[in-house]
Amino acid sequence: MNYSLCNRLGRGARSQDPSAADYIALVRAAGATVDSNQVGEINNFYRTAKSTGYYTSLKRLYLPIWGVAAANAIDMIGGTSGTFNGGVTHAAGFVQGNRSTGYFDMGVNFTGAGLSQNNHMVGGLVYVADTVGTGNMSVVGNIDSSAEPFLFNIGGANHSFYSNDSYSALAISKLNGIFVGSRTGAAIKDLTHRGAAGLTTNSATTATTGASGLTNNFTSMACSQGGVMGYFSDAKLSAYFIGTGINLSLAESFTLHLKTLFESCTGLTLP
Amino acid sequence: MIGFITTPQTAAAVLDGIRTAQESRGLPHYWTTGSYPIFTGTHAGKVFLPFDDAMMATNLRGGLTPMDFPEAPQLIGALGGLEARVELDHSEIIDPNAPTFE
Repeated sequence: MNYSLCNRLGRGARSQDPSAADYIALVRAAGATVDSNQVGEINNFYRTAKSTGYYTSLKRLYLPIWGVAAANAIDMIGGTSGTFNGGVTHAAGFVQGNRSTGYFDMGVNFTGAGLSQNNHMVGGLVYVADTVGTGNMSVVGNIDSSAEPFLFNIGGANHSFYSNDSYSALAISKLNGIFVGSRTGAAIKDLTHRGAAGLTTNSATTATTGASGLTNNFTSMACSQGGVMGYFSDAKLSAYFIGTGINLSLAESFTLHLKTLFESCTGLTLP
Repeated sequence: MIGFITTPQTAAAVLDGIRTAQESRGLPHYWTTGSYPIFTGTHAGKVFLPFDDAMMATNLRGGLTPMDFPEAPQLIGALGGLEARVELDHSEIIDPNAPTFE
């Protein structure tokens, strides 16, 4: 039996995910190069994120690996752009604040992102955190007068997830890797970490007051402290995100898929 | 930190100019110097706009830098020119009364 050329070419081929196609087009229009391997890996990420079930929880997801500010500012979920402020290095594989003025403004606050008191998450991929033990740095976050959902590097050895809770945090003693701080209930708060060595989680089951209604925008590499920027970072970040809460199983999948996306698109290895 | 010290009004006008330079070309507002209130020191009450050599060389899109925009000379001129830049200690833009989580 002879198969038509058309059949042979089409066998096994997959159409591109529309969200992937949109994002790739925006990144290329912004002056970054996206090679065929990266196209495939980005497509795979969108497909698996949607089929696994956490994609709709993501409200902003940034992949600042392109070495170009305009491309790094693009949100993978909605296609809008945030704004880089101050001194930020745009390297191949990551962005890095200068620990004094550099940060990224996502252009959306708590309510605008559709988050709620007991349903939110924040996180990021910390490729390298150079500054150890010299004060706190923000990966992504927001501080109002008393409520603060964000992920932090504290004391050089820990990352912590705060969601109000009167300054009580969930912490994991890892400096680098992918961190997801998620709240899915009054008494359900999880911190997930994925690194080269595997997965670590820390959870809280005591009911506490979750963060709500913060008016300042979510930012990365620094944190709004009641409207004034502080907690500047010089960590090398390759992803940061906010969203509604996801459970541990979805966080495990999300971090695995993000690891694959990061490593396959950059050639770097998740620490 | 190296950059310009100016009044809040001039800073607002310059940042608006940076925004307009992008949006007038159909681009999103993806980059700015940012402005940082000065809380302590001899310049307390004014505003700091960072603009060191690294920022000047930022790859904004397709190899273009902030200095490649036609509006750059005018905006920099409004701040006194590159020679008006000063060095400021980072501690001076940290709000001593900001809420913390510690």
